[in-house]
Amino acid sequence: MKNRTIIPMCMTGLPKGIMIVPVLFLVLFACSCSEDVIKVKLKNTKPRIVIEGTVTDRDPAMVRISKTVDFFKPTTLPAVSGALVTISDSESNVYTLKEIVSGIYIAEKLRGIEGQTYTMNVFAEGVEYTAVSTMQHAVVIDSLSQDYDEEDELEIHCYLTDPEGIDNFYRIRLFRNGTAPGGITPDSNYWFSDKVTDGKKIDYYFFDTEDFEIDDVITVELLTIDEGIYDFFMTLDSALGDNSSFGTLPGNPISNISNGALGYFGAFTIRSAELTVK
Amino acid sequence: MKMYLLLTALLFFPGITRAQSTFTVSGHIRDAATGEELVAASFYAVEVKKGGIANDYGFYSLTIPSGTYTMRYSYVGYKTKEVKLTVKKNIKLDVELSEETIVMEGIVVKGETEESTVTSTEMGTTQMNPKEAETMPILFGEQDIVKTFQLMPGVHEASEGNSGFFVRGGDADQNLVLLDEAPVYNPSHLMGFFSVFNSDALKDVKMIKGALPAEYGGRLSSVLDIKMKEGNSKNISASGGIGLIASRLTLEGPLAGGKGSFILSGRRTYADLLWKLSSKENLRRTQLYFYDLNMKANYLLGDNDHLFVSGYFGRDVLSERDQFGFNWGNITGTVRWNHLFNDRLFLNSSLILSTFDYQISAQSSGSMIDITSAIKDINLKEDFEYYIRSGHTMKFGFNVIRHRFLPGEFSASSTSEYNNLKLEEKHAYETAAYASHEYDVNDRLKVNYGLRCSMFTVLGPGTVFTYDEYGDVFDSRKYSRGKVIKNYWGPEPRLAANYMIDQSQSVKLSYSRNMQYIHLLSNFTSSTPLDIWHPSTSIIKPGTADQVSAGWFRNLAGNKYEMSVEAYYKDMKKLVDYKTGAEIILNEHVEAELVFGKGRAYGTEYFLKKKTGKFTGWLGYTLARTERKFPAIDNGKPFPARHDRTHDVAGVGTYVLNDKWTISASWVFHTGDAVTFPSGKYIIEDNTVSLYTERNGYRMPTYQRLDLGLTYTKKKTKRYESSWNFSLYNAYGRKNAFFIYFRDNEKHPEYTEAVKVTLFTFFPSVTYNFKY
Repeated sequence: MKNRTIIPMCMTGLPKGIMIVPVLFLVLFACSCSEDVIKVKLKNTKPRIVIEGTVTDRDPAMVRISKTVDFFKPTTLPAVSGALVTISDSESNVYTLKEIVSGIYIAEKLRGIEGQTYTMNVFAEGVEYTAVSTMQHAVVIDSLSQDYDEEDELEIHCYLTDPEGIDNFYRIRLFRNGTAPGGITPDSNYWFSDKVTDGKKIDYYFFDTEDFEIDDVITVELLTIDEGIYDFFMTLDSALGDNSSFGTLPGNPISNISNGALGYFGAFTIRSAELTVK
Repeated sequence: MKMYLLLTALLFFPGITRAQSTFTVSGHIRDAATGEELVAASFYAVEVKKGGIANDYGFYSLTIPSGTYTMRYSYVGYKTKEVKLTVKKNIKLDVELSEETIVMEGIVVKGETEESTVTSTEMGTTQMNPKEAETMPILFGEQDIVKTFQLMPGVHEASEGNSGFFVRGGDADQNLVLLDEAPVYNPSHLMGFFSVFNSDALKDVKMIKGALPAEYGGRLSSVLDIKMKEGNSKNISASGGIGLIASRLTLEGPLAGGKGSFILSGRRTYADLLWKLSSKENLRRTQLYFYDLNMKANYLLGDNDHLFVSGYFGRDVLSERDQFGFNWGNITGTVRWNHLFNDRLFLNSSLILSTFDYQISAQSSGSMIDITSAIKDINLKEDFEYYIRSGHTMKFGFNVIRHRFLPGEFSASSTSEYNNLKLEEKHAYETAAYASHEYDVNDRLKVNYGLRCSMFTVLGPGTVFTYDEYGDVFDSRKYSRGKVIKNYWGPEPRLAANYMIDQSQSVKLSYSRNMQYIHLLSNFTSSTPLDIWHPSTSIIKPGTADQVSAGWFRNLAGNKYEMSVEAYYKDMKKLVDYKTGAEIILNEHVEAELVFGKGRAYGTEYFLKKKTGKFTGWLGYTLARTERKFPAIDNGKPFPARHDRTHDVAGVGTYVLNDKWTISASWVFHTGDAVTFPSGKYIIEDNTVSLYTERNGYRMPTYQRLDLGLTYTKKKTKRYESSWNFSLYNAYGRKNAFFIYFRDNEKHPEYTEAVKVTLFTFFPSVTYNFKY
């Protein structure tokens, strides 16, 4: 209850450092709140195809294909095997991805190049799905630093300089000793645009650091993404389950893939920096 | 031009046949103890069975043939007064009625009015004096008149404990909430748990959910018309109360030797003051409070002129020291001038200011940043009432509102890290002219017909964007200052008829068309202060609603009981909804985030009220359906609106045990709201993502709740009175779902589970009230 953000400030597209929204609204009423697990009857659904495809300038290109399941079934999605998956670039080079594990397709040699537009084609179970994403120019992390706020709580600052005159979209994520502490949730993973910070030096800071210890190795990754990926992840927030009847209107995220596939296809750059907590 | 012709025609048609031998009895009806004008008190000439109700300023006028009459004046809760009159010339007669508080053999007798809901043409209208709600059970010890209205058929609360409301299937922004004629854009405090209306300062509250009379307009569904007290013009008095979370104090008294009066009323919550004593650091650093200030003064300039000045100022503050601040509130101001041209023509002129704004500020690495948004209105109204002769009353007038929309501004104290961003201000004029005629066709049939013509003009400077199907900017065009960007207008006919079957029962029929030119943009499922009002544009078209309703009204047991059955059908067009994850805040292309569709609502409302005696109260039942249809949502398949409730029952009862103790109870039972739950799921980056297959395809569990109240009146003398109100909210501890969310099971993360959050079970509160 305490952590539920009533005003998802990410909706404004602003960097989170400036949007500390302590959830106080319900503090007053918290005393009389209670939670119970209940039985809810939900309808059965027709399975739909889910595609998650990425091209980066660091790791091999990968496409994962699966299907949705009914809400109260175990969350082990049936993999879609035997699909024909290709990715082509602006220069018409076509890469065919190889299925290495059931439902996971990889092009070992394909690394993205800044400025190139990539097209993904997936032919699965008789239907063709396509999506397009452009790899934006990389923005580097200028530096990382650590600091303590008034209450002596650790803050990890990440500095970057936004290129002026271009609409930039970012994803920033933090790893503590190699793992992301909050998963996809905003605690250690965030998407923002340069709507109010175009051309500025941005100080993005992580303050959800309660568990961090001295000598922890903190890695921060900065991804420059295109608007399609940004829209997908911004709207994904409305489908992350825990605000289905309170908060913003629930809905399916905006996919950039054709023919009704869920998920996204994105080409992005990754830059990272490391810091050891002192 | 057409409008003027019509006005003229309407003006002269009924008035021409005034016989030589008729005279006018007119004046004001007031409260004997305080001098307050009694809104809608009734007057009646017994011999000729003619009468009516006093207007919003207590003014009445009746034109009758010469003769000797018994004039009967009455008002709910007041002693009826009869005056013998010989009418040979025009008579000006001010009447004072005294409150019926004398307990005869332990029975409180409340006055009855001649003019009741059975005889008027109004439908779907509830009028209430906040005093009537005084002894009802209340949440947090704060009396809230809006919550009392939520217990009426056809009116729903926005969510548990919330003062937001939906009327007959309309959306939240389709209610026109007026405080002394000034629109209140965000009528709630503390995320909706309280309304901004401090009952101590209120005189009369009226809700119209059916056909609106022609003098009202601008919203599709309802009007909640709230009038502040004028203040005691006879004695200085003070009253107040101490509740669980807030305190109130009201001062009122005469001005200029009784030629006027004033009232000052304030309220503030103090939960945060208690937190300061808390041992928790983060609580001590937190501020969360609201306050309200109501002020009003009036002055009689002469026999025919009366000046009123009133204002409201309220603010919510939520902050964490130095780090974060969020505050919002409404300001309204009204200057009114009543002028009597003669004993039959009454004019009220009003100049009204109304604003709502919010401000969020936050500390961000050395820079203070602010986000603000506001709507600011200036409004001029001229309302004439012409009492042509007995059985003919005309109302006509016009209204000009200048809207200024400030959709959003982002500013930072240091520009090294941020660029300031200011969305374009928008300017618009909303104008309307109206005329209506209430006409007693014969002894049985009474009609009220009227026409309102409204117009909305969006003016430059401004940029108009057009968007392609993906919501990307396709084209833009700049308009300079004063240039007309877009103009809309439309006729809004209104009709209401009442046919008396006999003395105690009637059938009524009404039709109205309403237009709405400003829209509230908020894609939250609960009420928040982050309201952004947006004018109609070439993309956002004005909303329209057509409503027909029919009803049967009946008085029972000599007007002790009143009952009604009403059926309505409402057709709404050009409603606004949102694309998934729509960005509403600080988005200059917000119009590209909207989708448009239509809706309809229909239902029947059953109502039984006991108005007098030791036991008073009502029972209401609504059977209704509310649907929406948007081409962009679920492929245009109709879906239930979130506030669609098939069954809705509410019962309220107050029983006076003796002159010290009063007990009360209210009970509600309704179908759960429609809600969007996921039907399937999938995984993105190892996180469970919900798959939604239809909008509002599920239902929240059935809701029911019993509240109990106990009022102990300590001393009741002429000079001093005090009382204690004890309330128990949700007395049988029903675990109603406030909301339901889904999460991965902690032990078996491959399974998802549904979690119900319950807000209040057994919530007691106590309030102490006093009056000098």
